[in-house]
Parts: sequence; structure tokens; C-alpha cells
Amino acid sequence: MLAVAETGSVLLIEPAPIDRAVSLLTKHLIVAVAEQDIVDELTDGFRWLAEQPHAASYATFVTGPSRTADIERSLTIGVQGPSRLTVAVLR
Amino acid sequence: MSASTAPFKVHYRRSVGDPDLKPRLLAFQRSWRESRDAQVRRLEQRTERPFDELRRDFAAVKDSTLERIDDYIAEFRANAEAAGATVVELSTAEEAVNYIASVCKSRGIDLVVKSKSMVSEEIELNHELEQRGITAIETDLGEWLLQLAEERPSHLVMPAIHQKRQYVAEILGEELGRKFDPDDIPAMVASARDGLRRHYLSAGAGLTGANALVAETGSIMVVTNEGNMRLATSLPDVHFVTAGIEKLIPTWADAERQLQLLPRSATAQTLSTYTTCITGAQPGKEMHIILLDNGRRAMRETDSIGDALRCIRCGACANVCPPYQVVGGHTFGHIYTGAIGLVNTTFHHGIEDAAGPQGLCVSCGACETVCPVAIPLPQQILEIRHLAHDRGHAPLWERAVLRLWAKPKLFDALFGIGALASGLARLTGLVRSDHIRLPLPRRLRWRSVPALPLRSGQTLVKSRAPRQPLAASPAAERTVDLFAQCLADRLLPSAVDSAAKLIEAGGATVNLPESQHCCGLPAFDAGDRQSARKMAQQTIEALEQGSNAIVTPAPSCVIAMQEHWPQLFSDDPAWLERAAAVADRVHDLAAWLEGPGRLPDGSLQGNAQGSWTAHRFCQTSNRGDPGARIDLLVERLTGEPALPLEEPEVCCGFGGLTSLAAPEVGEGILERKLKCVAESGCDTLITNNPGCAIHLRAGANASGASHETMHYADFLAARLPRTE
Repeated sequence: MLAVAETGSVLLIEPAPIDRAVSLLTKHLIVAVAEQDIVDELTDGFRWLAEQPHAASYATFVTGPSRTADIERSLTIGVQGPSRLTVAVLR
Repeated sequence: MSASTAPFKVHYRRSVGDPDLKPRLLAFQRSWRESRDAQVRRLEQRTERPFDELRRDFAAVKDSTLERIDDYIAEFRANAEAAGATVVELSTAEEAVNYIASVCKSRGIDLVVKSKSMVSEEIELNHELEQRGITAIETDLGEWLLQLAEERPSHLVMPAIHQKRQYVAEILGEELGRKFDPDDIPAMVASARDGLRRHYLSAGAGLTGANALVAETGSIMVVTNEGNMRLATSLPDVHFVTAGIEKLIPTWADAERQLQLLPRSATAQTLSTYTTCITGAQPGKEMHIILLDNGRRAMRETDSIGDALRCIRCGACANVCPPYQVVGGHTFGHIYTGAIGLVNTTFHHGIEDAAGPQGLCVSCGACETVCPVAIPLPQQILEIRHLAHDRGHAPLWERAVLRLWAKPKLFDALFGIGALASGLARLTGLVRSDHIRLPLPRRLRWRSVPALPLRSGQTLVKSRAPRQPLAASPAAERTVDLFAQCLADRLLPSAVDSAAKLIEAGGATVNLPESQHCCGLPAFDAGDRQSARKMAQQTIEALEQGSNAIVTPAPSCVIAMQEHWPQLFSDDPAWLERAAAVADRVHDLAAWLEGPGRLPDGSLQGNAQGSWTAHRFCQTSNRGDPGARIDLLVERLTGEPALPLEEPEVCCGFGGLTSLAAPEVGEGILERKLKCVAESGCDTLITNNPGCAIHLRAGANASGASHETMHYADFLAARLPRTE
């Protein structure tokens, strides 16, 4: 698990579809990240990703809850994925 | 005929007849502009590099990838196939549809869930699959709403931006069998979520686009906000990716560069909610990556058009486009919308589908300023117009007007008759504030018809004695050739005379070269390069004697001479040289007054009174040309501060022939401008291009606005010290 300070993103590595069920289908997603796994910039996240071809088979930088503004540009949180995202930083 | 295939004119009538479209798109453009600019400023601070450098860096990545596209495709293919994906390169829309249909047929798949993919729109995949007995369901909320309404996207990123909430409530209600309160958008979104969920479970295949194809690992990168793309790629057993070959980038470092630019330019987000990177097929599943050409290699090989392949489909060009704000993407574009749609449609769908909206572009150049890959869209649109004109897509009246314009003697005679008729109208009391009260048809009533003055600008200059210079003039002893500009000379003669006075005040002597007429801009703008050449040649012949500086009160003509003439004569070295010799001597009046003919600070503090604000000519402003900031010039010379004006550089709606060819577009853009002017509370609106001054004055006259409109040369000349 990796997180990016610059964008407030968490990087989910989910090669098997069953891994994704949790992050896809729940309403409230809680992600735990170890403090030492927080990198400064998105560049660092991509560098890490480029070095792990297998882990990258299905990787997603998640930045906040699912959202849409497709109806009259009205921002609505929680359309198809989770409507809440909590990132727990473990020290 | 379905709504989605209606020809241009039907779309045009429909969009200008929708009273809600303009205000909704205006609110969107303004809020996008504010948030996007804030995002870009933060990016510049964080990277300590200007946006222009960042975008040119990434544009260079795209260009060098496209140059060796086959190598990168080979690298991508090898890596993706090593990870278990199937990569197919296909030439046409039909081949792509057939491939997807045949994979579905052989696996017994009759339902495909789709995440947003513009390539799938480009190949009209939903419709084509339906013909072959396969159902495709859009799962992006906006795309799903379009599918339910049988419509096309009207924006690259906000596909359903034209739909009203009332309409959404109606179509969703029909699909889901319940009644929605149009004001309860969260309830509609929640029901859509439930309505879509069941499809993921029963679909045999999921289809996505790709924002980037990363060659070094054979991966795709997709940027979304809803999360539907992750569902569509996780539940079904087959994953199709439809992407244009231009989406190739070499490395993940390049992907990160793209991400600096894409979400900020698209939705003004630092990063979209989900940035998903997929490499190869997952165990037990299939991944088919379709790399589509469909005109892209032809685009690459076409002069001045290849750069359009850098496009990352952010939609920013539409978000600053004044005519887009008036008519929306169903009219301003085809399947691809906005400025990029006016260019690439030609190659993906043909000139017939691209020709219709060409005349709507006002050539203001705003799109190029925000494009995150620096595509020279305004120049490319002029190239496509030229093509459309050559293929006979220009209206007859336009051809006739331009032929006439190219004949100086006939042009003069007609204006002479017009001036006489205007004189008669003055005598009979039909003229009010220099405009004739004519019974115009309703769709033309928003702009009055100017009464033509009897004396041209050149006549005014010749009929008076030269002015004494102001003290300490740097331009003393020089002679300046004044290029009056055809429009100003006849419709705004005082501006020509005022320009001469200001040049004289700087100490120079004004010379009026004989037989000057038109630089060719109107014809060039309309794509009629034959007439444009003729007019340019006349102007070159009139101006090429001697080596004086040439000054004009019309910045649009400076652009025409310096930028369009080289294109007009690119295949004619002799004329190219003559054109360059003239163009090198040309100065915009404002640049002259700041440069070689500089007038001292505070030297124009004459007797004129009243508050003022400045509409800055969009083309020179968007290009950052010298002289574009007339507000600063006028403040410096007069010591009178300008009143703040919102959107001072957004087009006024004149747009050359646009306001004649598409009066509703001219009207809509003018309305936006005049509202800002009224809010400024100014007594006088000044501007720097004669066409804009004439248009803004005629519009203010028709709307009964209280401010006066003038060319800044008139405003400044009125403040010259009296010399008698």
C-alpha cells in the first residue's frame, strides 16, 4: 500500500477481481496506510509502479470518494463507487 | 432521421431555439475558467515552471512518439501481449466494430457494459453493435443519460451538459419506472447507481477507452470520477479497450506528465478520483486492445494538422470558446466537439460532417491559450475552412461578397452609393446616433445598420493640415505610411484620421499610399484563398514602395500580413519575398505609440471627460501581441484609470463573417460582452480593432445601451492638446 501526499491519493494494488469487490462495492471504504509508505509526489508513485510490473496488473490511485457532476454540473458524491473514503495512517 | 444524425442546420436551429442552453453554458464556462486558472497557478507554483513550458514539454513527448508511432506500437504490443492481452491494429471504424462483434459472437456475449470512450462514439459502436444483435450499455452516468435520450455527447468531458434536470428526471423516470423530483439530483444519481449495477453482473464484456497507452509496460491508463470503469473491467470476463493510436506514450514518467495537465484542464481537478492502470489480462480473463487509425495517420501526414493528434481530449478548447457557449457541442462540432472537433472530424468522419460548423468559429484564439498540449487550433480551423471552401461548402452569398470585396473600384462605388443613401436617410430623419432605422428581420435586429459617412478616413486626413508634434518626439523626421484598413476607412473614418493625428503628434509625417484597399483577411478567414491572394497582392503593390514604417489602426490586418500572407504565398517565392518585405514594416498603432512613435506619459490630458473601459481585441490579446494592452496605453497617456471590465479579452461576437453567417452566434456573444460593459458602468467603451468597434457600436445602438463606443485612437485624439 502506498499513498501520495501531493494529491491525497492511495494506491490500491488489486490484481484479482475479488480484491476489488471491497473497494468497488462498499459505501464506505477505509484504507490503512503505514506512515512510511507515504511518498511526496505522484511522480514517486508512478516510479514505484513502473518498477513492479506484476503489482501493476491492476493498480488505481484513488483520490477521494466516487463522484459525478453529470447532471447540470451538480457535484454528487458516491455515484458508482464508495461515497466515503477514510484513510487511516498507521504509525 | 434520428436526432443524432441530423445535419448541421437542424442542430443549429435547435440549439439557438433553446433558451436555457446559453445561460447554462455561460455559467459552466465561467466557473471552469476560475477553477482551472487556480489549478494552473498552483501547478506553476509547485513545479516552479510556467504552464506554457509544461505543456510544450508534454507536447514534445507526444510529437516525438507520433513521429515513430510504429516503433512505439510494436513496443506496446510486445509488452501487452507478454502480459496476456491481445493487441489488434485496425484501420477503419468498420473493422473495429466487426472485430468487437466477432469476439462477442464467438464467446456468446450479447451484452457489453461500457465505460466512457470517445473512440467508441467515433465509430458509433452502440448503434453498430445493435445492428449485429449485441446490446451495449453506457455506464458513465452522463453517457447513459445520452443513450436513454438517443443523443450524442455535446462535450468531450461533460457529455450531457446540454440536458436540463427536468429532462433528466423525465428520461430516468421512464427508464426506471418511477417519478423523480428534478431538484433532487442526489436521488436521481442514487437510482441510476442501482439501475446500472445489475448490468455489470449480466454483461459478458466490458469496454473502456484509454487516456494513455504506456509502451514501456504495455499498460493502459484510464482516468475517471465515478468508478464505473473499475466495475466494467472487474466483473465481465472480457475487456475491450478502444483507443486511437495517438494515445501511445513511451513511459510512466510521461503518464505522470500527462496527469499534471489532463485533470486540471478537463475538470479543474488536481487528480480525478480514479486513475487506473491495467497491464494485461487478469487470470482467466481476456483483454483485447484495439488500436484504431481511422484517419489518424492521414492527419499526421497533413500539413499544419498533425499537431492535432497531441489532443488528450480534455475539452478545454470548448470551455473557453465563445460560439460554443452560444450553440453547444451538438452544433459546434460533430462527434468530437469544440475547436478540436472542427479539425479532427474531417479525418475521422469526412469534410461533409466537418464543414457545417466551420463558419461558427470567430477565430478569437482563446482555445489555443488553454490547450494543455499547445495545439495551434485557430490556424488549423482556417486550414479546414480552406478545404471546405475548395470543396464547395461555402454559401453562395459569402462567395459573392468576397468576390466583390476583392474588386477595389466596385467596392468603392458601392460604398459611395451607400454613403449617398445614408445621406438621404439623414435628411429624412431615419438616422439616429449614426445608425439607420431599417425594418430588419427579427434575427438581425440585435445590431443596427451604421449610416455610411460621406467622407472616408483617407479623405479626412488629406483635407486638413498636419498637426504639430508634441515636445520631445522620438519619431521626429520620420515618415509613416498609414494603412487605413478597408472597414475603418469607410465605416469608422474618424479612427483613421485620429490615428494619423497621433502619429503626427509623435513627430512623424503621415503618408497615405495610393490604391490601398484590403489585406485579404476577410477572404482568408472564410477559406477563400484565391480572393485572399488577390487582395493581398493589391495591398503589397500599394505598400511596397519605399521603406517607411507602415502603421495601421487595425491589429487584425497586422496578423493577416505577418501570419497569413506567408501561408498564402508559400508556393510562390517571388510574392513571398515581396509580402515579407511589406509585413516586416508593419506596426499596429498601439505598438507604434508604445514603441518608435512613443508619446510621453500623461501627454494626452486634454479636455475630454467621463469614465472608460477597454474591450481588448481578442486575437492580439490571446496571442500576447505587442499593443494588445490598449488599456495600459490609454492609462499611461491620459492618466485616467480604466474601470474594471469582466472578461476584457473574450470576443465581442463580430468574428468577421461569422456574425453575418450565423447572426444568432454574433448576437449571443455580443450580449455576453454588452452585459459586462453595462456592469462596468462606463461612459465610454474603447476597443482596438475597427471591426469590433463598428460591431460593438451597432449592437449598443440596437440595445439602447447608454455608453458610447469608439476606437481608442478617437478617444486619445480627443485628448490631444488644442493647437490652433
